Amino acid sequence: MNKDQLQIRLSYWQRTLGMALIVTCFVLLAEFWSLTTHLAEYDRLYLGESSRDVDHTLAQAGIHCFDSTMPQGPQKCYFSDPWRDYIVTFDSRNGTVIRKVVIIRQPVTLLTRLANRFAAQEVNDPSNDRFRVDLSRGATRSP
Amino acid sequence: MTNKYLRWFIFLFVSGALLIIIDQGVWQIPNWVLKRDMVKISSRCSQVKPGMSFSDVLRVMHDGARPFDESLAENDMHFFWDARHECRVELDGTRRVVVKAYAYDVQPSVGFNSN
Repeated sequence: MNKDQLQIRLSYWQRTLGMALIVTCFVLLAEFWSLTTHLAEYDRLYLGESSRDVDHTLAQAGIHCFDSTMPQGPQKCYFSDPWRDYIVTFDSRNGTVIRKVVIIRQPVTLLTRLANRFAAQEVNDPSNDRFRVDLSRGATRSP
Repeated sequence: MTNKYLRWFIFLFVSGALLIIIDQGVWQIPNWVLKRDMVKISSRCSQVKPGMSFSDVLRVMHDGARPFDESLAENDMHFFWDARHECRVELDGTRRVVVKAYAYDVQPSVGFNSN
């Protein structure tokens, strides 16, 4: 191998590494933004705080709190970022925070995210009869 | 010509593999940091002393640490640093001051209850 061939091979690997780094950075940058915002706001919520204060804190950060209240269960506030889920439970009597939980999600790779996206498209495709919903029996998947 | 296609194939394969490795690695970093903060709760538990107020307990527990699960009941507070380890703080119901604080292992149960 002469000197020129060595230089070409080095730049080739550098390009490969550079491309992987740049694409990954772009993909993760947006996700990191939501990560820092959501975790910081979660830390600002305290046990014993009123639901009104919680709403105010989250609204200021632009976080939408989903109400995941079950029938006859305590009122809950659920929000998430790509890395974790946050659940805040309120006392049904006085509306104060009685529980805070942060649940770490399993790492989801780019491949998994892409696969999930394709799977969702496949299920939602009306021309695809592999996924058929029989309302009398519930959701079934035909062979 | 064949060499050119081969180089493109290797380029795409290696780029894809690196992309997945880097992405997977970056995903681990925030969760690794969070788990490290959660484990600190075990040492915070020993810093909670009888006579401390409710707000003092919260301050100690959140000082550089972050519980995985925390809850407040009538006369006690619970701080989990993982699904099986808990710091329990018993409170005096009338004055809301700490009576006792101790860490213990929780009996494993089936599933996760977020209620």
